[in-house]
Amino acid sequence: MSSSLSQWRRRALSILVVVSLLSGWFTSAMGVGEDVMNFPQPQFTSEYDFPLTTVPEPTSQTKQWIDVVILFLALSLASWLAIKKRSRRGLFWLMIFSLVYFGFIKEGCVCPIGAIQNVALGLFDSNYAVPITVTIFFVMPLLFALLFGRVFCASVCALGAIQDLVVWKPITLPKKLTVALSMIPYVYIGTAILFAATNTGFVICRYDPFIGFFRLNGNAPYLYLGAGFLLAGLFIARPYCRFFCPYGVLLGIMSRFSWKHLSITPSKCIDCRLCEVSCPFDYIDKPNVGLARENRKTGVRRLGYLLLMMPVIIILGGWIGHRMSTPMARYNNTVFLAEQVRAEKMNPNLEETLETKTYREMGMSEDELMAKAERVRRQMNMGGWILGGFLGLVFSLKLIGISVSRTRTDYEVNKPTCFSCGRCCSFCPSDEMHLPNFEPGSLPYNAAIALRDPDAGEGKESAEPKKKEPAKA
Amino acid sequence: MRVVDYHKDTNELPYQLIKGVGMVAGVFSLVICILLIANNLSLKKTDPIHSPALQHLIEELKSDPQNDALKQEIRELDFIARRAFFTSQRFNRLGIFLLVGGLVVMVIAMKSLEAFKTVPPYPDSTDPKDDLVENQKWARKAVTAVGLVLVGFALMIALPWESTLDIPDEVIEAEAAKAKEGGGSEVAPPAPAVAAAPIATPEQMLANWTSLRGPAANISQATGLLTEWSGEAGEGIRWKTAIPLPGYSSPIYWDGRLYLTGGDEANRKIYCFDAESGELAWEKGTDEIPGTAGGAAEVSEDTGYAAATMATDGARVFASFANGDLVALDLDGNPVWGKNLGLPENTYGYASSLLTHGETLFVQYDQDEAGFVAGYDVATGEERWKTARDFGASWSSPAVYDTGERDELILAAEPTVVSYDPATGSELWRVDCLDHGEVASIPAYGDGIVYVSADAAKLSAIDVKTQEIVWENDDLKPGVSTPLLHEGLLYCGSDDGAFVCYDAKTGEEVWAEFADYGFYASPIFADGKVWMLDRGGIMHILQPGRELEILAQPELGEESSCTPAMIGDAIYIRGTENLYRIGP
Repeated sequence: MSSSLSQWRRRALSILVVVSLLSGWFTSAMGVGEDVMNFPQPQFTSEYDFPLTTVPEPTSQTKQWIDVVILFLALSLASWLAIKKRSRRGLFWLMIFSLVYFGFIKEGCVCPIGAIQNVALGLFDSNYAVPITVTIFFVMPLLFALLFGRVFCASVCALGAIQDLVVWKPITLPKKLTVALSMIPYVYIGTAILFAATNTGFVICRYDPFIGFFRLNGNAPYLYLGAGFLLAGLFIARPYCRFFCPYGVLLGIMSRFSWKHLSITPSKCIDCRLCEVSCPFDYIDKPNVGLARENRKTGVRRLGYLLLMMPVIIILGGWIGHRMSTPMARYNNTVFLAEQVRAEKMNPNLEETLETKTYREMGMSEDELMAKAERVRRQMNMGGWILGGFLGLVFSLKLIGISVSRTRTDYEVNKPTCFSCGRCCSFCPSDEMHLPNFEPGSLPYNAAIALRDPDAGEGKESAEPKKKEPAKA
Repeated sequence: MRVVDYHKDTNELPYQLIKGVGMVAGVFSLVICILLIANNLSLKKTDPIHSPALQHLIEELKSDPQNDALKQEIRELDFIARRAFFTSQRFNRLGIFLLVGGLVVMVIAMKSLEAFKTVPPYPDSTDPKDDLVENQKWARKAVTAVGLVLVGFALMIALPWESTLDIPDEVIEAEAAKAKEGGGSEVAPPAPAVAAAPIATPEQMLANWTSLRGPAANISQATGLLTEWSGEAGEGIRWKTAIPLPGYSSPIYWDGRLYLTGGDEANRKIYCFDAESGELAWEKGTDEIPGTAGGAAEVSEDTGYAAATMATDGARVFASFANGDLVALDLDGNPVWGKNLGLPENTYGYASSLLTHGETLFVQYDQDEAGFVAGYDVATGEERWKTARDFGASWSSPAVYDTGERDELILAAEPTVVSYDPATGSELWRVDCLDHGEVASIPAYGDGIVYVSADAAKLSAIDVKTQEIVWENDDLKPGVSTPLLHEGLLYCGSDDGAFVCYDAKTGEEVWAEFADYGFYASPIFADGKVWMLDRGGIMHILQPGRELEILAQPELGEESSCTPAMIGDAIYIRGTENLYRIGP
C-alpha cells in the first residue's frame, strides 16, 4: 500500500512537471500574450467603424469602502480564529474566502502589498493624492500585526492563500539558506519604495507573479513566473511570502512587538516536541537550554566588531546605492527619453525612436526635458544613498541578530516571521480542543492530562512514546 | 525526528476514487497541453498575420490604389486570415482554462491523498541536538555571502554604466559634427599610396567592365565571342567557379580580374577572381574595414544582402551592401576607406549599384524616409556633395551621360526622373512620369532622349532639353533590366519574359517575342549582336535590326539575374551559385 501511494505520487508529480514545462515552453515559444500576436487593423478604409477606445470607470467610493469593511472583518475574524479559537480549519476556510474575494473577484487590487507604492508616492509627490481607502488598506494589516501578529498572512492575503493551497510535501530548507534568502525582501521593498517615490514605476505590481491568475489574463513571462512559484510551492511552502514579499518586512517588524500572538500551546509547554515538524515554514524556535554556547568573551568581542563596522557598512551601502542611481534612473520614462534624445543629438545618423518622435511632435523644449530628467536623477541619487544605507543597516543588524541568542525554555513561534496559520495548534496535546487528536495512553496524551490534573495522569512514568499502531483494515 | 509509519487503508473506496480522479485530471491536463502546443505550432506555421499572399496584394494595391477588384480580393483574404487567427485564439483561451482546471483538480487530489496519512509525529530521544554555535557561524557566513553577491552585482552594473546625460555639451556637439561629416560613422584614413593612385583614362575604362552596365552603357568592345555553349555539358565554358556567398551583384572587370560581392545575414564579402584561371584571388569581409557597421537589414529573397554591383575607377574597387556599408579597397583587397550610410529603410532591400565618374563615386540612396544622392571622393571617401531626395525607396542606379553641353547624373524613382549636376549635386531638371511602380530600371540615354520605365509605369522617352515626354508606351516594358539603345532602336527585356524592340524616335513597337523566363539582366550590344540573358540562364543572341532574327539561344544551365560582363573575347556570367567564363 505504501508502495502504491509512492508510485501514485511519482506518477502525479511527473505529469505535473511535464505539463508545467510544456506549458511554459509553448507560452514562451509562441509568444502568447506578447503584442506580436495582436492582429493589425485593416490597412485600407472600408465602411467598418472602428470602436472607440474606452477607459473603464474607476471603482466607486462605496465599493472601496465595502472592501475596507470586508478587510476589517476578515482581519478581525482571523485574529479571533488564530488567538482565541486556535482553529486551523477556521483559518483555512477564511483563507479560501479571501482567495476568492480579494483574489478572483477583486482581481488582486487594491492589495496592501501594492499599496506600499501608493503611500510612498503620496509621501514624496505632492501632486499625487493617495485615496484614503488605499491608505487604510496599507495601514490596517500592520495595525492588526501590531496587535495580533501576522493574521493578514494567515488567511486574508490572496497571494499567500494561493500558495498555501498548493503546499503538498514541504521540505525543511537548510537554516543558512533561509537566512540568506530572507534578505531579499529588504532589497525588494527598498527598491520598490525608491521607484515609487521617484514616480519611476510600481515594480511590485508589475512583477506580481499571481495577478495573472487572479485576472485570468496576463503576459506569458509573468504567468510562467507565477506557475514557477506554485510549482516550487509544492515543496517549499509559500516561497513568495517567505523570500520575496516586501510587505512581509513591515508585517514582521510589527509582529515582533505584537501585543498578543498565536502560540503553539494555550497553557504550558510540556516539551513533547510534537510541534517540531508541524510548521512547513520552519518558523518554530526550539528550546535552547543546555545547548553548548559560544565562549562569552568571543561573542562580546564579535559583537563589538560588528557594532563598530555598522557605520562603515552603512556608508559603503550608501555609496553603492549612489552609484546604482544612474542605471536605476534609466527605468524612469523621463530620464530614458532624455538619454535617447541626447544620444540622437550626439549621432544624428541614429534612427528616431517612437518615443523621441512623439516627444518632438509634442513640442516640449529640450531644456525643459533635461531639467525634468535632472530632477529625477537628483531624487534617484539621494534615494540611492538612502536605499544603500538602509540595506547596509539591515545587513549589520542581521549579523548582530544572528550573533545574539536569547535563552528559550519552551517551543515558541518566531513572532516576526510566523504567519499565524494555526497548523501547529493541532499538534499540541496540551490544547483541550486538539487533545482528541491523540490516542489515549500515549505519552503526550498522558503528559497533557498529568499537567492539567496531576492525580489523573497515567503516564507519570517516563517512557519512550508508544508507537501508534496502524489502524485496522 | 522519527515519524511513525502509519497509513490508512488505501484500498478504501474514497482513496481509490480520489486517486482515479487525480490521475484522470493529470492525463487530461497533459492532453490539453499537447493540443495547445499543436494548435500554436499550426498557427505559427500558417502565420495568418504575416500572410505573404496578403502582403503581396497590399503591395500591389499601392501601385494601383484604384483597383476595386484587388481591394475586394484583399478583403476576402484578410477575412480568412482573421478567422483563422481568432479561431485559434479562442481555442487557446478555452485550452488554458481547461488546463488550469485540470491542474487544480490534480493538486486537490494530491493533497487529499496526502491527508490520508497525516498523524502527529512521535519524537524520540535519539534525535540529534542542535549545534547553536555551528548554526550561528553558518548563518553569518550566509548573510555575508548574500551581501557580497549583491555588492558585486551592483558594482558590475554601476561602474561601467554611462549616461548620455553625463556627457558634456561640447563633447556631444563634437561627436555630432564628426558623425555628420562621416555620413554615418568614422571614415578611415586613406592608405596614402592608393589615395594618390591616379584614376584610369577613358580609354582604359573602355577596355574594361567598370560597373553594372560597363563603361559605355550596355555597349561592349568585345569581339570574337562564342555564340554556342552549354553550361551543363561544359561546352564553350573556359572555367566555372563556385561563389562562396550568394548575391545578385553582377561581375565587374579590371585588368585581368573580376570583382563581385556576396553576403548573408551575418557576412558581407567582396571577392576577386582571376579572369584567366577563375581562381579566387582574394576575398575581403567588411567587418575588418574601419568605419563599416555590422548588422543586416531586412531583405527579400530576390534582393538579398549583396544586390548592388561594384564599381571601379581603375585604382580602387567600391562595394556597397544591404546594411548601408560602403567600402573602398585597392585592387589587392586592402582597405582604403569605409563608412556606413545608415541602415536603409527599403521594403525589399537596398540594391542600387555604384558608379564612378572622374574622381567621384555616386551613391543613390533612395529609401522610405531621408533618401539622398551623394558624390564621394574616390580616394578618400570624403563627401563632395549630398542632395536630399524626397522620394520613396527605389532599386534603380545612377547613370551619367554627356547630353551635349554638359554631363548629367540622371536618377529614377517613383514618381520622378531627376537630373543633377554630377559636380555639385544641384538639380538640373525633373519630370514626373513614373507615377506607379517600383523603379529598378536605370535611365537609358541616346540622341538627346532619356528612356525610363518601371514594371507598373509606362516606358517614357524624355527630351533632355525641353523635358517634354516625347512618347510613352504602356505595353511591354522593362521592369528591372535597363533598355539598350543602338542605331535608333530600343531593345528591352521585360520582367515577364518579353523581349521587344521599339523605334527610339517614335516609340512604335518594331517587333516582340516571348521567352520562357523574365529578364533582370540588361541587354548588351557586343560583337555586332544583341545579347539578352533571361533569368533561366538562356542567352538570346539577336541580329540587331528591324527584323527579329534569333541567332542562337545557348544555355548556361543555371539561373541568373545578373548582367554579363563582356571583355575581349570572353563573356563573364554570374549564375545563382557559380561564376562562368564563356569563350576561349
